[in-house]
Amino acid sequence: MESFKDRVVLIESISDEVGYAIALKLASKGAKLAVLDINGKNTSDMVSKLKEAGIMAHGVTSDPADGTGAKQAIASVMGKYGKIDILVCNSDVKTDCKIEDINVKDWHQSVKNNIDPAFFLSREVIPIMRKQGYGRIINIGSIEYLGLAHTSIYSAAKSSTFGFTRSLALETAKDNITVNWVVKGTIQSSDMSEEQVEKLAAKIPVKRLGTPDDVAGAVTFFASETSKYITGQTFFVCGGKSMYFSMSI
Amino acid sequence: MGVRNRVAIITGSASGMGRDTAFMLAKNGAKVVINDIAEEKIDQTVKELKDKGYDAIGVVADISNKAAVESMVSKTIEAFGSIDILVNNAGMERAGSLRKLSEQDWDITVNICLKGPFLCSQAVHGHMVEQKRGRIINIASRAWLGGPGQAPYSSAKGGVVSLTRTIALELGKFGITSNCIAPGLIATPLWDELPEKTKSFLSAKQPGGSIGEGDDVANTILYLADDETSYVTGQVLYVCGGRSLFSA
Repeated sequence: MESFKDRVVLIESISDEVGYAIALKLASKGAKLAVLDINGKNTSDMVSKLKEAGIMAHGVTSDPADGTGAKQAIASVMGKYGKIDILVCNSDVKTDCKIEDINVKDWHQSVKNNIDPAFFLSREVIPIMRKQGYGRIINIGSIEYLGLAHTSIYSAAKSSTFGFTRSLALETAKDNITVNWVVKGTIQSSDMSEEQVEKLAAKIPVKRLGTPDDVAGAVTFFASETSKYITGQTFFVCGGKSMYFSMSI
Repeated sequence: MGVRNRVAIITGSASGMGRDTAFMLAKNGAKVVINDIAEEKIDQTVKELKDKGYDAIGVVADISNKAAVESMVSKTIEAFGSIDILVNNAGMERAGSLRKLSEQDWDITVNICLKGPFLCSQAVHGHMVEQKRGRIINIASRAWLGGPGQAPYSSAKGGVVSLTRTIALELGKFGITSNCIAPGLIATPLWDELPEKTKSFLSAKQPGGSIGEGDDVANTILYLADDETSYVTGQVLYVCGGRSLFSA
């Protein structure tokens, strides 16, 4: 795959294993990294972790789910690198509970966590990408957007990225900007037990769980220059699990 | 990782997107099998690949004929020892209104566009199961969503989407992925033959105002064929500049 030398990528919500894998993959292909998190410790931990892996990253701490925070984050990256070619919106906060137990605050918080960062950051970065004449926006979704019991507010918040991605794709299609949505299936994390992994893997067509690196591979493809004719798409990285749901193509 | 030393059969690869794909895979280290029904064009493509130092053979085969497909697979095994990637690219279209289309129009389109991918997938899957690794990439079309005057083609391509998903479900446990690319308008020799008026009409419907190139599809195939893309299966990826966001 092509080199990302001279490309600047901003990865939002960097603290999870998927965010780290995306950062590693893009940096290994030469991209200049900026990592953003609302939590200062998460940001500095990630910058240190990347440094240990031999990667220099510009750390930004601000709230991307807020107009001012997003503006500050984009300004910080522009101040450091002078451009932003790729934006990865990786925010993913799951709420698992019955509808009758959800209060209004939970509802608003789920929307704020899962879609607000993509909205505020895209609103700031698209005018910059237009001026550059180049941009790649990749939103990260979750297969639960298709609806599972007890995930109503999470599914609702995640689903909103579907229409959001398509709308932005159409708005920016003439500007050499693509906007796509990578939807992850069941991804193995370091806190899962062997028994858990085995049980979950049995339910997936390829009989294994995904890795953060699987997601990073898809993000890298959509972040590449060569994927220029692909926009507005939903792309599952799920070992075929999406085929068990209707409305998944 | 990547496609280095992998063996790829690309059907309909003596011209157009198939040819672009063959060059893309070969450039990235794959050994490629050029298939078509026109021997002269195959020979020319194989020569050009070999001139660049790539590993390639040519096989004439009508993919709607089971015996011919099986022979193509045998020749591939004989030449390269394995089959790792199958790109079901060959296609053709007989367009016309429902009233005017003949039974023959339907049969020939469905035979090439749907029966062909079925026969080729069936013929290679045993080798892939044995080696517990394989990539089947089917070229459908954005037209599977339905288009006026495209009854046989749209239906066949819709069948390709279902075939892709079925293979993914059947063979996922063997390390074989099956995915589908749905290209939109691509600058191929077929596109070049269209009247200017039709080209302008179609281009105007593109969200970005322009159409794609063979390499847009070839690069997507390269990604799906990669050893690392093992957790993506049963998917339809539109390479169409966003045109799939509207159906007809």
